[in-house]
Amino acid sequence: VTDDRDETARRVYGVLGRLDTEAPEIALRVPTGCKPHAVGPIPFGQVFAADLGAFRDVHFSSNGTNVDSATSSRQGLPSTVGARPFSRPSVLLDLLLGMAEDVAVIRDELDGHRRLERHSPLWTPR
Amino acid sequence: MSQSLLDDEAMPWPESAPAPYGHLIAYDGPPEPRGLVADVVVDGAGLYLAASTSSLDVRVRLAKTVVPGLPIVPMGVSLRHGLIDASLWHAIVERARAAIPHEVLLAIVARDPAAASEVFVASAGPYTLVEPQFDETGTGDWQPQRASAGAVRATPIPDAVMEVHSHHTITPTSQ
Repeated sequence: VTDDRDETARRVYGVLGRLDTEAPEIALRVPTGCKPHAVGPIPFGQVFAADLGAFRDVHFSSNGTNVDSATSSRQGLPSTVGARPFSRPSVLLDLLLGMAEDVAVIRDELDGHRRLERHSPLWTPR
Repeated sequence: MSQSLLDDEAMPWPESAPAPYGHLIAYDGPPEPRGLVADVVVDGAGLYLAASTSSLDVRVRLAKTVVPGLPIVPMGVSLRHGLIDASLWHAIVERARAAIPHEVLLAIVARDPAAASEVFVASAGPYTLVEPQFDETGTGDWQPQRASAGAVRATPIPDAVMEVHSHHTITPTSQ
């Protein structure tokens, strides 16, 4: 089975890994089965009425949170809006963009305070 | 717009047929399906594709953005016959471990197993766990799966709810 090429039908696809170790893994995903072709990771609990036991859900943490902020992979769509499926860089990118937005807000607030101080008739102790 | 989502060389869509794709807004959760193939839906977290079969409903995020005023629809899958019983999960793991060092491909169908093309493994509720067989020539000459430590070949089951196979390792980029 060549996973990405073959697993394109509209159904749940799963893979079990590291079965001969104490930390076996499972990964589940579902493709759209049509154009635009996209694939989304799904948590174990959406498919099985069972406990994971020793298994680790590769795409999701133990509380069901997607380990990657991207929720789907996409093929055949413009790369300008493409998510990076199942990859760490998108998490880091989101963090960096979030930090940049926070810094911009803080800078705007500081600039606003400085302008107010400049025009204030009152002296403010520093 | 609908036509552009289909194959570039697609034949004209019959005028009397329902539209292949619906273009919907999730004002109050997932909207009712409209497109014959799928629906493209805007929700509070961006754009997603909703599609279904007789056994499951699929929602896959296509693009992320914040859309104020709309609810966020959870992505993933909803199984129309309910969740798959724990006994079938344990049967999958047991069968996969028994196949080591080879891979094995298993499938879950929402019906009884077919005679020659599917080997029964277990069943629970509406679901049956089977081992799909291999018809290399397409002539109905069903053979056991062709499996090795790095691959497994079997003929896909058209109406499978789920396919699962074993790997020795999982690399997140290839699943």
